[in-house]
Amino acid sequence: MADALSAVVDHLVPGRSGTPGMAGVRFSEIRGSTLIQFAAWPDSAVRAGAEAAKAVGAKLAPKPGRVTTGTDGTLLRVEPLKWWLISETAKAPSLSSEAGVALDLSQSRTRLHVSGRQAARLLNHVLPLDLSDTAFPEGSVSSTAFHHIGVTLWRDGTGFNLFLPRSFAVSLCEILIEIARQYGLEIA
Amino acid sequence: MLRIACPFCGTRDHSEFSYGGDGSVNYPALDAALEAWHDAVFLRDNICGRQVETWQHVHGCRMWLLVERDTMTHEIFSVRPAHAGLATVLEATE
Ligand SMILES: [Zn+2]
Repeated sequence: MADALSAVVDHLVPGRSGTPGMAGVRFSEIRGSTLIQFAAWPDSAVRAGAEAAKAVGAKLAPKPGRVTTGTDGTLLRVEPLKWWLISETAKAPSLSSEAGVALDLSQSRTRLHVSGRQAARLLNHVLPLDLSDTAFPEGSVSSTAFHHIGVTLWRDGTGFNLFLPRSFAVSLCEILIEIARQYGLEIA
Repeated sequence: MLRIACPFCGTRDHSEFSYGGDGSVNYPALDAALEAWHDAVFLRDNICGRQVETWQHVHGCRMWLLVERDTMTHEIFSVRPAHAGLATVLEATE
């Protein structure tokens, strides 16, 4: 997916803005990885999860709200019956329809990485989640809403990955940039 | 604001859920008499107190839930998956 077009390239202009001093928040768009959704039926979740785990080279599929990293990518349990596989190398396997459905969603989401000392505070302007280190530690994932738009949030070792539906990405990024200026914003 | 303890996601804000209506209605068979369907679709008790409601965690796990709530005080007594089989699915994959 290296040739995917960015939805926000004109709005995430690299540079420093807002309150001077050390930037409290850093934004960058992460591009070039593949996003494949594995959706299971209620009675096939174990099988679909096992297929998803195999596709990223992980031993076990993560439980709801958790993330597992394997040799070939990362697996996010975004909903009880859905996993998202994020990878540079993995290909979408063909699942039998009894086991579930694998669907390439790479072009459907804009992935914004939000880091910095005030990252959680910034996100809590718009997300109704407890983002403290104890409630939402590294390796957590959550499906939630941002201005009535369904979004997905994953905390990794360096910050937060916010998956925005592509057609809303510009609008939601504008809102985040506006709020982030008070903390000092750096866009990479 | 209501906060609902989703069995899949934990406690979340009202803004992530959408209300589905009376959860105690037993719908008749597809070929039941018109009167039976009329009553199931249109007749509701206007309960002041505890009632069972369906809610969907639409901006979360997207699962349908059965929520037992006091319509007077908004106190929530219990929340469980509407699809009984899902609880066992989760145990098997953890
Ligand atoms: Zn939920």
